[in-house]
Amino acid sequence: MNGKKPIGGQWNFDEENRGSFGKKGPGLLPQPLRFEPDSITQDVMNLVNEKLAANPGTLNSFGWPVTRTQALEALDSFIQHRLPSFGLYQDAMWEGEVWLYHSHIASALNLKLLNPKEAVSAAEQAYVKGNAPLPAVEGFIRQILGWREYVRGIYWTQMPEYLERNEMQASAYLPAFYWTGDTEMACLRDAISQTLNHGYAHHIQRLMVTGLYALLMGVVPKEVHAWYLGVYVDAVEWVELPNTLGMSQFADGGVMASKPYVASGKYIDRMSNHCKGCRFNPGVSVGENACPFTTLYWDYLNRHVDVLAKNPRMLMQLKNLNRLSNEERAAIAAQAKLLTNSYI
Amino acid sequence: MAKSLRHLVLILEDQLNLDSTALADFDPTQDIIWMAEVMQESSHVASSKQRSTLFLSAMRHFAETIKAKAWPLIYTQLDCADNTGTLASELDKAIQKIRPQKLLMTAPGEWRVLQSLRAVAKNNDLTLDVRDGTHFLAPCVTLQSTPRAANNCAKNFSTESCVKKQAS
Repeated sequence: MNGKKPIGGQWNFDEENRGSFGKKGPGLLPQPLRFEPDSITQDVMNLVNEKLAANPGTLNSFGWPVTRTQALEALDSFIQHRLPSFGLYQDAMWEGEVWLYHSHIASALNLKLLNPKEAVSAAEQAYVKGNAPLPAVEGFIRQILGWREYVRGIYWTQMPEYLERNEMQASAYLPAFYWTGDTEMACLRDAISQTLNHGYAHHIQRLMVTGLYALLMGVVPKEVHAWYLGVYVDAVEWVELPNTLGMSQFADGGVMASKPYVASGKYIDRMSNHCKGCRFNPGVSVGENACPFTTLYWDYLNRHVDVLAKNPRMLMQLKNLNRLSNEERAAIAAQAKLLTNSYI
Repeated sequence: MAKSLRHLVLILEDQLNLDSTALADFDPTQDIIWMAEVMQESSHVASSKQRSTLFLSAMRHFAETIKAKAWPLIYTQLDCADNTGTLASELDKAIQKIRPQKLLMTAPGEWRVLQSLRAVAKNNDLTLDVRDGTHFLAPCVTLQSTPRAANNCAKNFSTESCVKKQAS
C-alpha cells in the first residue's frame, strides 16, 4: 500500500493478466520442481495401486511435495522461476503443457504444509526486490488473500444446505469420458488426461473447460462436485465445493458468483491452440463439425433465458442470442439433445 | 501410564503442520496425538490415485516428524488388519483404549467430518474442543457478519473457540 492507495494506483490488474501464447506457443517453459518419491511415498504408491486400484487416474509419475521442507522449496521455485510470467499467462492453455507458469502450491497450502502468509510474503518480496511485475504479484496475492478466504467463508456459512443446491435444476449425468479422457474434443481430452495423470489442471482448465462443459450440459452439481473433490490433489471440500458448485456450476443462485461463467468454444480457441488439432469447429453450432461447447452454449442461454434475463451482467450474451432465428434455436436445441443423450 | 491422559489431539489429513492450534499447548507427558488412514476418506468420493498418494504420504511423513520429537502418537495405517475403515470408528476405538479427558482438534476442512467426530465425542460423553486454525487470514469471528452467517458459524465452530482465538 501507498498510504490509503494501492501500489500501482489500482486494486486489480486483471486486464493485463489475460494473455494467450499466440500462434508460436509458449516457447521454452521453466521446468517445474517435482519431487522424486522416497521410500515412504513408494510404499504408499504400492498401497494405493493395490487397495485403491479402481480409483481414478494413474501413478506413472508422482512429484508433489509431501513434507514442509519440500513445500517451501516448491514455493521458492515458483517465486523465482514462474511468478514473473504468472500474471500474463494465468488464463492461457497449450496442448500437452501441464505446468506452464502456475504455482502448483495449492495442495501444499491446503494440507497446511505451507502457510498462506508465507506465500503472500514471498510474492510481495519478489515485487519489492524488482524480480516480478506488479500485475503478476497482485494477481497471485489476491488469489490467496482474497479468493481463498472468501471461498472458505462461503463454505462454513452456507453448509450443510449448500451441498444440496441445484438452482438451475440440472439433471444430466456426468459423461463417462470425465473418468477416462476418451473424447474427441481436444481441450477436454487434454485437461482430463493431465488431471488423471497428475491430479492437476490450472484454474482456467477447471473453470472454462471441464467445468464449463458440465455447466452447459446441465450435469447434476453434486456429480460435478464429486468429480472435482476426487480428482484434484488440492481438493478439500471447504475450497472445492464453493468453487465447483457456486463459481463453476452457478448452482447456488448467485451466492458466490454474480453470473454463470458461460462461453462458447470460441473462448477456448482464443486462449489455447486446442481447436487447431480438433475435429470440431468452435465457430459452428449446428452440423457434423459443430463444436459441442458452442452448441451447448447457445442451448444453455436458450434453456435458461427467463432466469438469465433478470441478470444485468448477462444482457450482452442474451442480446446475441436474440439474433438467432427460431429455426436456428430449434436446430441448436435438437443437436444439444442428441449430444446430451449420446452420453447416457 | 501413571497420570491419566489429558487430551487426545486429532490430526487430520489436511492438518499437517506442527504450529497447528491443536498442538499449541501439547504436553507429551499427558497428551497423545491421533491420526488414522481410513478407506472411507478415499472412497466417499472416488479419490484419485494421485490425490490419495499425496494425502497418505504427507500424513506418514508428518507422523515421522512427530515421532522424531518423541511425541506419543496413535497412527492407524490403511492396511492395518484391524483398521475399521472410518474416522469415527477408529476414533472410537482409540477413545475406548486410552480414555482421554478431552478431545482436541483444529477446525477440519469438511462439514461431514466435523459432524462425525462430534457424534463420536457425544457418544463417549467427551468434550471435543474445535479450535480455529492459523492457516487462514480471517478468523471465523469475521465470518459472523450477518445473522445467518453468525448462526451457521456458531453451529460449525464453537463460539468459545472463536472468542478464544480473537483474544489470543
